[in-house]
Amino acid sequence: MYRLFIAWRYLWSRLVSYVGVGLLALAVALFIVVMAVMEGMGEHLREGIRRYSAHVEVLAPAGPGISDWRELSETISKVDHVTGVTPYVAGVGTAESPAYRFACGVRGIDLGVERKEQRGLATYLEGKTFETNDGSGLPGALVGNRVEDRMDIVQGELVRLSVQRMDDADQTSRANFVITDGFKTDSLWLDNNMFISLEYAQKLFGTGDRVTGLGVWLDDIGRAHEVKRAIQRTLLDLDEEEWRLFDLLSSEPQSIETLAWRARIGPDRARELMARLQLRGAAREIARKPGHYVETTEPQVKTWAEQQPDTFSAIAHEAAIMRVILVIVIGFVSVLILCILWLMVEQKVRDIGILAALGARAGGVVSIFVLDGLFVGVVGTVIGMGLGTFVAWQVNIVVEIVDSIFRIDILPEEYFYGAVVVPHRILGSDLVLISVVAIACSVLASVPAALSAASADPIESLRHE
Amino acid sequence: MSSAQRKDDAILRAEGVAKEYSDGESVLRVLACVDIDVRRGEALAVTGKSGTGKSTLLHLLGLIDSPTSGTILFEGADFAGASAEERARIRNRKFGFVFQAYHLVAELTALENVLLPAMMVGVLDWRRVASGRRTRALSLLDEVGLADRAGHRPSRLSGGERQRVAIARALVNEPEVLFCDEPTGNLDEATSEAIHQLLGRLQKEHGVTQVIVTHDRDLADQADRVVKIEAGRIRPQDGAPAHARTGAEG
Repeated sequence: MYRLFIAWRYLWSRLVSYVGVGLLALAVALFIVVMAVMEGMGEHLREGIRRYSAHVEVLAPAGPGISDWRELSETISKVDHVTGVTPYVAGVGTAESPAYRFACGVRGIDLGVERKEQRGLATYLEGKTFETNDGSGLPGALVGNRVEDRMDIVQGELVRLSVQRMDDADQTSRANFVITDGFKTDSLWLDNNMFISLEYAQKLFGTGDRVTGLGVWLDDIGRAHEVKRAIQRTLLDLDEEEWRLFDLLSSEPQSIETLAWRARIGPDRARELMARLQLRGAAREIARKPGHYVETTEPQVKTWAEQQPDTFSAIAHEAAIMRVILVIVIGFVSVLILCILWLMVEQKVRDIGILAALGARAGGVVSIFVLDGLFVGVVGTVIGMGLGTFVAWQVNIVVEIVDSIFRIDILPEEYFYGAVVVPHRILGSDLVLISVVAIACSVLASVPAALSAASADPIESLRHE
Repeated sequence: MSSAQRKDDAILRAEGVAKEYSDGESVLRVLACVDIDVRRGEALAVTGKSGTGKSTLLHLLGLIDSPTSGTILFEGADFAGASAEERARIRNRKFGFVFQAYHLVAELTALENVLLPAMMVGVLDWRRVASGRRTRALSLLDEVGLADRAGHRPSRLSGGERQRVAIARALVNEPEVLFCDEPTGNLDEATSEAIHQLLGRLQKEHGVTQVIVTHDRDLADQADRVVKIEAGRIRPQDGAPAHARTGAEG
C-alpha cells in the first residue's frame, strides 16, 4: 500500500516526471498517427487496385496469347462465384501526336462486355464508343486523362500508335487512331492507358484471334484464391488424386519423395501421377534438381493480390519498418525515463534510508521505483493513445494547416486513387502493440534505478543531508 | 537493583558488540566490545564526543545496522545475524526512530508522514486498519500539539514542528523502544526544551523505552540512566542514574 502511495507522490512532485510522461505520450501519439495514416493509405491503395483490377486473371503464357479464349471464357464463367469474364489484349506502346510522343499502356477491350462485367471501369466507359463519324474510316480510341494531358490532344484528333508485335518481337506495328473520347478515373495507372477495340488490338499486336488475358470478375472478392484454384482445376481437368498432388505442389517446389510423403502415397504412385501432371502442363521437373517438381499451369491464373505483389509487399514492408522505427523512438524515450528515475533515486537517497529505518524491505524500495516506471508508462500511454487517436481522427485538419502554412500539396489527388482526404485507419493490433511496448519499456527503464535504490546503504542514506 | 535483576529487566541488550568499517586497505574500529542493557520502560541517554560511536550504537541496537561481532538481543532473541526481512519487521512493529535531521518525506503531509510506518504493516484488511491508524495518527499529532498542521507539508513546518511530527511518526505503531538520535541537535534552546518535555511526557504516559543519543546535557539529565561512550567503549563508571551522574557531555 505504502509503495503505491509513495511512488505516486514521488512521481508527481517533480517537473521532470511530467517531461517523461509528456515525451512518452508524444511518442505513443506519433506511433498511432503515423500507423493510422499508413494503414489508411495502404487500404485506400488496395481498394483502388481492387476496384480496377480483375479479381482473378487468366494470363497467356509467353508468346502470341490464348487461342481458345472463347471456350475458356465459357468454361470459366461456369465456375462458382464467377459473374463475368472480360477478354483483353494488353501491352505497351508509344502514342504520337503532331507535337508530342508518349509511352502509354495500350489495351484492347470489348466495350460491350466491359460495360456489362467490369464494375470499376464501367462507370467511366458509359456512353463511350470506338465508332468514328468523321468519314476517315480510321479506328477510334479512348484516351486516359494522363495521356490526354501529356500529349495535349482532344477529341477528334489523330494519334499514331506504335507497338511491338507479339508474334514477332523484332517487328513494330503502327496504326492511326482517332480520339473518340477521353476518360478520367481515380487510378493513375488506368489514366495512363489508351483503349482500343479488341479486334484492332489483335491486329496491332499480331495476336491473330488470340487474347493476352481474361479478366475474371467475382461476386465476392474474398473468394479470389478459392476461385483461382477452381479455375486451375477446371483448366487442367485433373482427377481428385492428381488435384491433391497439384495442390500440395503449389506451395513450393518439392522432391517426389516429399510429395509422396505429404500425399500419403507411395513414391511410385507419386511418380506416375507427376508424369500425368507433366503431360497436362501442370507440373515440370526442375532441370537442375532432378526429382524435384514445380507447379506450372498454362495459362497462369493469378488473383488480384498476386498481380500486384510488389505493391502489396512494399506497403507491408513500409508499415513494418515504420513500426520498428517508432518502437525505437519509444526505446529512446525509455532511456530518458531511466535517467529521470535515476535522478529521482539520487535525490531520494535520504528517503530511502528513512524508509528502510521505518521498516521498508529492499523489495518495497524496488517496487516504489518500478511502480514509478509503471505509472509513467501507463499515464504516458493513455494520454498518448487519446492524443494519437484524436489527431488521427482529425488528421485532415492537420494536413490543411500544414498545407496552408508551407503552401505545399501534401496529398496530390491523382497519386492516391482520388483520395481527397487523408485516409486513416487505426488498427486494434497497433494499439495493443504500442501499449505493451511503451509500458514494458517504461517498467524496464525503471529497473536499474530501482535496483540502485535497493542497494543503497540505509546508514549512508541517513547520514545524507 | 542488583546486576542480575537489571539483566532480567532488559528489553534490549548488546553483548560484546563490535563494529568495524573496512575500505579494503584499512579497518576503522568504531565500537569495541560494547556490553549494554536497556531496561523496559526506562529512558537511557547515550552521550559522548562526536565520532565516538554513539549513533553507530543506536543503529546497531535499532537493528538498522549489523555488528561485526557480538550479539544484539531484543526480548531475549538474538537479531545480530537475523535476515534483513526479519530486522525490517522488528524495526517497523517494535521500534520507533527520531533523527536529528527529522527525515520526514517532503512529498507527504504531516499526517501522511505519521501514517507511513503504519502503512508498511502488511495487512489484508487495509481499510479497516487504516481507519484505526488514521485516528491514532491524528491523536498523536494532537498530542504533540500539531493537530491543526496535519495537512501541511514539512516545508511549511518549523524545525521544532518537524521534529514533533517525527516523534508522532515514531510512536504510531506503538513501539516497544523509541530510538532518538540527537533529537534536539538542530533546534534552538526554547524548542529543544519543548522537545525534552514532550519526550518526558511520552515516556510517562506511554511507558515507551527510550534510547536517546544526545549531546544535550538537559536532555541527558532528564533520562533515567546515562552511559558515556569514549573511543568506541562504554565508560565503566557510567550506567548510573542521571541524577547521580557526573561525566555526561554537554
